Amino acid sequence: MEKSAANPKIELALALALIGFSGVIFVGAAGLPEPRFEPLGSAAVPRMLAGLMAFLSAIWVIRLLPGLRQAQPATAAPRDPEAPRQHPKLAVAVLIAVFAFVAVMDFGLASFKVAGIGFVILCGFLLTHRDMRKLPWIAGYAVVLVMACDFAFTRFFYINLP
Amino acid sequence: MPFFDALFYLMTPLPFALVFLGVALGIVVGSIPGLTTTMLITLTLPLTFFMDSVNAIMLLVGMYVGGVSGSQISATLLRMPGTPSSIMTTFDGYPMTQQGRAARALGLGITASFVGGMISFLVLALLAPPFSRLAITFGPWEYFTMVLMALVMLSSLSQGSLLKGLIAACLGMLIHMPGIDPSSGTPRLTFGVDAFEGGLSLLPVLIGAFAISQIIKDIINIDVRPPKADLAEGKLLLSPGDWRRHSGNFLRSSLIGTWIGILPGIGSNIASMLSYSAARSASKEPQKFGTGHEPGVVAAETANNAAVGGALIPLITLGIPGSVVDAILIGALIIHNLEPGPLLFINAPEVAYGVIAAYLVGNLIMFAIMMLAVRHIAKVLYVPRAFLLTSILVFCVIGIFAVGNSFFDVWVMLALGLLGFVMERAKMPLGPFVIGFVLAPIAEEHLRSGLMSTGGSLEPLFTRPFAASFLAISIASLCWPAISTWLRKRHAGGEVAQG
Repeated sequence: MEKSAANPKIELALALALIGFSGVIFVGAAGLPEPRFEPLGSAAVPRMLAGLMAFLSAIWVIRLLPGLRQAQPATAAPRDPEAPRQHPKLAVAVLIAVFAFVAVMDFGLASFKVAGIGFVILCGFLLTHRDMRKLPWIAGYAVVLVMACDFAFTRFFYINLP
Repeated sequence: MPFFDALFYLMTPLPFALVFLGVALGIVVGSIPGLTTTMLITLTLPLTFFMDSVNAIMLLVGMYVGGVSGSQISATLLRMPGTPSSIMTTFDGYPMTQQGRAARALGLGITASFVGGMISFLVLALLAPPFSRLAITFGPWEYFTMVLMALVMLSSLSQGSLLKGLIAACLGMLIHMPGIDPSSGTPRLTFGVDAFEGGLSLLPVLIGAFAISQIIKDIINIDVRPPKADLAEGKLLLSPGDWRRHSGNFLRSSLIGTWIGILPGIGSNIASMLSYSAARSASKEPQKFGTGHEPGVVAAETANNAAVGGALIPLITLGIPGSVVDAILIGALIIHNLEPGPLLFINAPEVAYGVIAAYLVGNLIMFAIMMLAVRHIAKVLYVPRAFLLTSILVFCVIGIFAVGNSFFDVWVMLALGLLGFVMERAKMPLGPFVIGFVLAPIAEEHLRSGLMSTGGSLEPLFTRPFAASFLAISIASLCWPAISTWLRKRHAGGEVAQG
């Protein structure tokens, strides 16, 4: 059996989500017209792929279950003081900033110049671990980067940015 | 001679400057751990919209060559390969750095990359035209089975899990299904959402899966700082004696790399692994491998560059990608309204031969840049990540918006970025996912037209020699993991019984 270093709970969640996605495809394919001029029709390939993916994902779930049952509650391993820390919360914060950046432009609340400068300052500030001394540098960089992008896209590639 | 026409064209200022820029950017980005060649080429794709197709492809091929070569810098100096293709370089390159021989290790690696590239260029230039003439005789069944073979081989070799690789390939193909059905012209799997009628475009899927998911990973590990390496001492150029000593290794590793590159779905990382183990098996001092032994660096770097040239053969002759980067190059051809495959040599010979010429010139430029500037390029390893990652995020968002003038594509990119990140956390490979997405329309179109021509019969799968061979290879690739496990257990059982 294949050994995996991944978190089995994440694997299980993904496998179950994929089975659910296969179900959605089956439902969508059920509404497609029957083939008239060819043997397969437009629903056949999605059905075949969804069926295969659901079957393989089910095997994945079955393989994962024994490992999940045997899994002991995780005990916090002593952390190497010299090892760099991981920052999952920082990644979530930056992702939220990206979604907000796109949403603000998509809903017409701000132009690219305004939203872009705000996003770069916020993102840079977060990624420098909120170091206030670096904020002026980040703000300067944000203005240069966003104005340069705006110039290149609107004057060079003739694309209207939001 | 169309090849020389392409070569002369490449020597004019604009194409030469683009290949030069591509190689230089590839080296720089390839050398920074966390930024991959795949990410660079994907992010450049939207900009090539505004370029002539030949120039665009030449730029991307330059990036490909530069990226594979540049990744050895961080692999050698920091034991952090810029791309997976340089994993084997860390085994001997980094110990050489620790022994104060960093310049020597880089000199060997750069020369090995150059030799591997030149030998695989010869194979590419000699094999690609006859391969394309053979491929013109292929019908829908050959193409369908070839796509099947590429997906199965890639799935079986990616990250060691065939099951997850196959699921990823199925998911990639399914993601491509929504949109207008190519045969009947009716909407399919759109669930009443108008935006889905155009289907999901290649670029948001690629940038989401590779760039956004990689950025999330890099942010989580933002505190990882590379140690300083000293490159001031030592010569980069090899002496005639070095060339003589390593000539056999150069040739063997180049041939292994090129051959592995030709096989669909197997990337340059597998090529360097096989070449490294072949070099160790052929060595009189196998125990020295992994301790800073020069032939280890030579074998790994020769093979990974040779694999690039090998992988370009199925790309331009069959339209079948040898790796993820090749899948993106196929996407670039499609974006420029070119049909990847054997007809490329007939319909757009300037592009097909342009790829070959760009590969040759790209290798020459790579050698020159690396030899002259590697000591300076190594400094980019220490660029502050906060500025780099923020800039890339901005480029991703406006690059994708610019291509379709649509925020739907940007949302798709972000959704695929999250999916790609979760897939990587679950150790599910992204390669089969993306290649499945790229190859899904080819597979479906040929399966349906094949079945229409035979009235629903699958008989040609077994009666047409090439189709039957490709099918047999696919089945063998599916069964191989189980057979190899069984053989290993049997071998281990035999050793226990003897003991």
